Amino acid sequence: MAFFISQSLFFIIPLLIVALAGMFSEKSGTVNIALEGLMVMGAFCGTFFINKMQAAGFLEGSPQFLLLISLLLAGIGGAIFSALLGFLAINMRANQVIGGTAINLLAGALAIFLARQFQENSAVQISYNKEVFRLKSDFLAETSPTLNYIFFEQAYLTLYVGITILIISTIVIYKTKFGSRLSACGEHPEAAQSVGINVYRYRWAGVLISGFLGGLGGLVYALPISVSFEGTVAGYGFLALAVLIFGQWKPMRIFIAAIFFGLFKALSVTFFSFDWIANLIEIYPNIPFGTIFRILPYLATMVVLALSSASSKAPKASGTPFNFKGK
Amino acid sequence: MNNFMLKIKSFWKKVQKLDGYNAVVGALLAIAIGLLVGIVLMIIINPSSSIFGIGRLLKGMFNHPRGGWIGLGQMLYRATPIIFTGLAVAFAFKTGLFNIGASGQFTVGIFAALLVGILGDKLGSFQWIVAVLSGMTAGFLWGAIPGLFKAKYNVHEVITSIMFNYIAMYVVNGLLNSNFLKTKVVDGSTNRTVKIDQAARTSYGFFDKIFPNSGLDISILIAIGTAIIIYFVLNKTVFGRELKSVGLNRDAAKYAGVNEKRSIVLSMAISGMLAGMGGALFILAPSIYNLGTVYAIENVIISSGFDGIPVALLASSNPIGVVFSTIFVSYIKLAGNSMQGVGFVAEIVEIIIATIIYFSAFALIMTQNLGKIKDFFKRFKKDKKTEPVIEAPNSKAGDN
Repeated sequence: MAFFISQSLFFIIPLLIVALAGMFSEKSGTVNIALEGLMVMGAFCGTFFINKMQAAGFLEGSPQFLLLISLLLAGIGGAIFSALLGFLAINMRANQVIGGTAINLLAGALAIFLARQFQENSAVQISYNKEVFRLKSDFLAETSPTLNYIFFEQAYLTLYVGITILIISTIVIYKTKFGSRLSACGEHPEAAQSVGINVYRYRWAGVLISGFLGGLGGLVYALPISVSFEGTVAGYGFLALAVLIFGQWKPMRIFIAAIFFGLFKALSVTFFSFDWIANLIEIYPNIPFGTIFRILPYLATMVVLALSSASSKAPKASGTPFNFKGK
Repeated sequence: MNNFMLKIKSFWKKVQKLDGYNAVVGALLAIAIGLLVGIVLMIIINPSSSIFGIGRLLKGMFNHPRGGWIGLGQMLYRATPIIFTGLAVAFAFKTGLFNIGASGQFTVGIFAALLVGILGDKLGSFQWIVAVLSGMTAGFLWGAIPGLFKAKYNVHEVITSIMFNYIAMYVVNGLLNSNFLKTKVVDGSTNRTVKIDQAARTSYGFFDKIFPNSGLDISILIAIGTAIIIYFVLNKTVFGRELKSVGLNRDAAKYAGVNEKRSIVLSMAISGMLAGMGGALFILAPSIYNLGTVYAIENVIISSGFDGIPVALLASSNPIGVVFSTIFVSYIKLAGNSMQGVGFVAEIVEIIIATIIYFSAFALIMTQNLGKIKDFFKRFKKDKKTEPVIEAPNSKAGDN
């Protein structure tokens, strides 16, 4: 069970961060179908930096600090890349789906291209040592070994980064002037402009925050599940988009949606470690349990969406270009 | 002679008024910018051999070691499945839907067709036709699912089709590995399906004589025919107009008496059918030297469906345009392969394609506003003394 929950966190946290990334952009009125590409760019920047720093022995004594810098770089990489989307969607008022698709294509190609260009033997894989980043703390080892295993021993700092981002996002969206204005720009930009809000700036802010979080989420996703990055995040950006809609564009509901999907996803890779499931497989060898558990996260999401999606809370003006006054 | 020139001029004016003129000019503009970006990139990373790289980039399929003619055949062969997924995406776009699930529909198309192609020996010469039809049916049903979710439960088709990409992959792989099918259709040593029966493969037709052993078969003709049919259905039939009207304004179509829910389901299903047809013809293809095609059982979503998105976008979702845009993309992808021979990474071509799509998003806007841009420059010429207006993206931040 501890292993299962520990595994599921590796799916939940990146989905949460990237879905929140999508939320900031959509709340401000720009559909961000480029989350996948932003993740790839972020993961590339982050892992490339870690690879070079680990090879150079930089910050060997404080890996957590190195991880923080890499996360920051991943975020900045994503933010710079998201400017492509912002320019196209906000300045040029072009079709955001086309732009997003182009950015996804570009990110995948660019990550492999740069890796092959700047690595020895033009290798695609950017390898790194992830074990040094585990927290390996015995904070709760005496009171509850299981909790300690999940949250302090096997976990990465990224878990707490994710939770922090969730809390900050909730506060920003609901409790600050910035958040309300951002939502206004996505709901009814004309009204927002008429009361003196600079829709142009808020939309750019939404896209750039989205890029930062998307890039950061890319590294958070790539780090724990593998020992190298190969220029793809396996469709996680699109899954995050699904989680965003599943979560009805609300931070806390996005968190619940991410947990829901992440638990099922973790179940699909760890189901054989549960005794009762292993027993079932032995009793009914003809039932394809493997396939069932693999499709379960996707199928369960669809069922929940069908039950809950009748009243969609999508930002009304999301995806529609806006004619700024004076242009 | 003057008369002749006038005729050309009037013809050109007519062309300019055509429906797709702006789209074509926009696409060509985007292609020019994309190629330029690629060329500049190559000059930056490796100035000394850039001239060879650029040569290979522009030569495309003509780099083929067995000559350009074989290269042409191979390019068309590679383009065929993408034409279908491109048509699938374009058809959905035209009816206001984004079918990102062409990969899943392609996969179930492959599955249905390969079952008939391997197990349906008794069908004789109809085997490949039945295989294609079953692939189409599988794609039709798989595509209908996102449509149903949208029409019945108001779930966005993008999510459903993404989810059903994964479900298609896992279900097909699971079924192929099941006790029932594994011994009959899977080659255990390679974890791939066995090859389709010789009798069930699509015919080379007369292409075997024109492009010997390039892999090109009659599927390309079916693809072009399908594109023409889809164009006709969308633009010349009541049914197509209805589907399009739902895409333009769901409520208005409803009030005009169109059954909008049925239209959404049918749009997605037809889109899925096109992708499934592509999958079927892909797996039934005799391929180069009649070696046959196989499906690898891996937990990776097939990229053909995603490849359909850029070609549909580049063609502004025009079915006939999809054929041309796919051929262009295949052309420079072949160029990318041969560029590796002179020390360039093949991904440069992917970067070029992405750049083209990026610029095609607003190249269309630029060509539509061509008149305005001309006016802008005319004004610019007249009052040269005033400060020049520089279009910089970030300087506008404080405009309102």
